[in-house]
Amino acid sequence: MNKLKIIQFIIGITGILILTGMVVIIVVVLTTPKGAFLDVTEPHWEITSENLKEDIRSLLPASDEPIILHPDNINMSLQTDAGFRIMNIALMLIVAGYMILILQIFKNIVKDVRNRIPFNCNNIKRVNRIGLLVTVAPLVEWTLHTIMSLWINSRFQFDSLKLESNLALGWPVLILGLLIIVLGVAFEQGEKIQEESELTI
Amino acid sequence: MPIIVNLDVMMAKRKIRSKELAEELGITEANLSILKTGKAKAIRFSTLEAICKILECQPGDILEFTHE
Repeated sequence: MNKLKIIQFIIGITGILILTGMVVIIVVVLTTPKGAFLDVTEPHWEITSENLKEDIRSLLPASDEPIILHPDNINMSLQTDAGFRIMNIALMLIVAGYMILILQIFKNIVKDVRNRIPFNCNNIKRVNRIGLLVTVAPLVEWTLHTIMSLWINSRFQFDSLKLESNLALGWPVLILGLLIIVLGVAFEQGEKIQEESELTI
Repeated sequence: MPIIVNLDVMMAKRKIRSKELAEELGITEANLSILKTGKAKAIRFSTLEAICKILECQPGDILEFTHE
């Protein structure tokens, strides 16, 4: 039971942090003076021209150590305007909402487990829902990055530079999502076993 | 369900009430009701043994198989 209390606490704290972060980011985006620049970490620009890479590499500090520095990526800051604000806030609301939804479903599962009724129809649906949300999270992330990239590319193009995204989620998250779906099947089987146990006199 | 539980019949023959039988079996009345109404999915041998002892009968007096 202590484990579950700790997990509930972590879920609570995580939810608060997400909401707080969301509020802070919204406030920052809205209160940044028009025309000021805000850093954009993803997507980023990749240098496609080898000549340009060499030119930049030649300016980097030389070293006798066994290391090579690669000037491949360039980060950017974008000037705030209405479109940028809307894009940022919308993407952030989607991401935060997604995470809060998963946390809320998870919280309800933990509550039932604490009340010693883990195997029920609601929890089966909840586990399946979380499994699906986690499994498609990399796809959602890719979609959001693509939308952001298309918006930036529609406004800015540079020779020798290509807009790229480093996706944080990937195969591990997909596998995790599939694992959770399998757990959902296990919950279904658990419900049947529980029912049989309850109806064994 | 192909297995019919004739506990009611045997209880009537032995003139024993549900509450009394449940107490002697060490199960709740609710569980006894589940058994009597055929909703049970399984019965433990220990429970069957106890029923047969209390009602002085054979398992065949309590359980009957029919083709559905």
